[in-house]
Amino acid sequence: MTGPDQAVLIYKKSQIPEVSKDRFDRIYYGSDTCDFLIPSKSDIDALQKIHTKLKIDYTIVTPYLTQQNFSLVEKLFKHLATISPCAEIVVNDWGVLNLITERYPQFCMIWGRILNRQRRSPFFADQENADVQLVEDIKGLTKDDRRYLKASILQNGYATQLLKSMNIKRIGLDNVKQGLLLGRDRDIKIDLYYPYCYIASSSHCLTRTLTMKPFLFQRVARCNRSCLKTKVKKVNIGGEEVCFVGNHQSYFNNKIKPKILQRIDRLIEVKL
Amino acid sequence: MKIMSFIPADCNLAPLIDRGITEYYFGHIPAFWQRKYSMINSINRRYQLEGQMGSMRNLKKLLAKDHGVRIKFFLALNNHLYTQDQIDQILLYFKDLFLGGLEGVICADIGLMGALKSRFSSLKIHASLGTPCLNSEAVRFFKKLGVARIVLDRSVAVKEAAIIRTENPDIELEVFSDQTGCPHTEAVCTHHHGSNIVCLEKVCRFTDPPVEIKSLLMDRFSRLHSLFKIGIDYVKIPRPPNKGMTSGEMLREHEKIFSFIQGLNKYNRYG
Repeated sequence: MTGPDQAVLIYKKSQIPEVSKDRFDRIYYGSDTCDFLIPSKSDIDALQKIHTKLKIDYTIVTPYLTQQNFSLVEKLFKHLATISPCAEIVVNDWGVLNLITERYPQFCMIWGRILNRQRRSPFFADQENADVQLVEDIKGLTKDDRRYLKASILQNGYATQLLKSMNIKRIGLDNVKQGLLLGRDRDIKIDLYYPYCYIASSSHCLTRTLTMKPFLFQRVARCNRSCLKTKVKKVNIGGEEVCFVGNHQSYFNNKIKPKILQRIDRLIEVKL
Repeated sequence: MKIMSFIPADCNLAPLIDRGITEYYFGHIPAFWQRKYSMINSINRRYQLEGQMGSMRNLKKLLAKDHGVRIKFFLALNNHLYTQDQIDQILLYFKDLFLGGLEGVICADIGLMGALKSRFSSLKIHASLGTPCLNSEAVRFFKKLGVARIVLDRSVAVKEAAIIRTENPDIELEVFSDQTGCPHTEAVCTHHHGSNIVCLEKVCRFTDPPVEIKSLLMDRFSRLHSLFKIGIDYVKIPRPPNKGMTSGEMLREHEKIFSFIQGLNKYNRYG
């Protein structure tokens, strides 16, 4: 039996030549959280070139979108429809989903990991003045608690029906520490993102916040792409190392159970 | 512009009705949920029991009471995700309220939205802050699902809200009366907010010492005025996360907002 396809998630054009030399079958390109990082025409052209030359497929990742930047994704789709009419698009925004359903039904949609509604945060503080503790160390969680913490939209039949009605047959999940429930529905293929699990994201640029303190937590109207130039900042919170890059927080977990590996269709290595 | 308020802990609506507030929301943890889950798995993203309405009997009494004017009640079932069996149990447990007494439900889970709409078609569904709806096209998606009102994320700028309003005149839009000190977009934040203070200071505003964010936010009255001018329909008064609040305390805490909104409405009528 063969394992899952190997893919990689990147958002910097400079990473394309590097990852195309690796073992990956497919490149996921774009950000699922930042609408300043929507792939440009030249990014798509670079991916298309690699596809023609090395036969490496690509999938375009789109983030959840503010009104301010929504037109960028419309421009992207217009361009994409001319060079790759059946392109695979990861959707993390209801508006993008609506746009594709109405105007680009030929695109192949993937339900993104931001919309899968997984419970992700590895830490919890239940009382005022209490210390943050890791979810795995909380005493007194019931069996139902633990099961719920592993759930995603895959355990919600009403939502998966909606997915299928929109011809969505693939969903992205994060490799969360508490484990995953994958369900028995084999009609939906699973992308597993690892080793960085998304926790939260912001309309403020966290990289900018950490590097340019005078402008802390201001919503940015223009982006100077600090995340492309700055190293990932790691902060220890409640015993867990949390990574800050661009506008999102994530944590590291590279342990994948063999049972999970058997069930998933694509394993997506997230590069920060 | 109308006010959507939480039901105060003493359930005394009279002084609030006097201020013209006729829409109220509340949370309630069903017995079946309490038996199964601890507070990390709250049914409505409020992690302390003080923030919830107590017994079902009292709740039904309040909803059935004659308040002299028509009062609309909304139940918050705004977790990002419910599983299929949870939805089925929720539909069964709250059936009586869905069939009568409740005006609508505040939801973030599209599965729950769909299930409610298909079984209780007269219920009004509000897309909660817990579901990412930051652009006009997303509003159009929710309209197709039968959603009656969208609660806009606190991060939506006035300029953006104006475009959303202009492009979607046929749906109710609601905003929160406050802006939090949290930098995260709430709909896509998966932190467990057991204690808001701990979460804000140690997790969300991770710098040491935590950075003061409030001074950088737009003054809330200027913001509300701008949102009023562009035609936002409702302002929601946020329920305190970790404690109950009586109607008297509420009036003291939110008096300025109530008067401000009343003033805006008066100005609009006569000015």
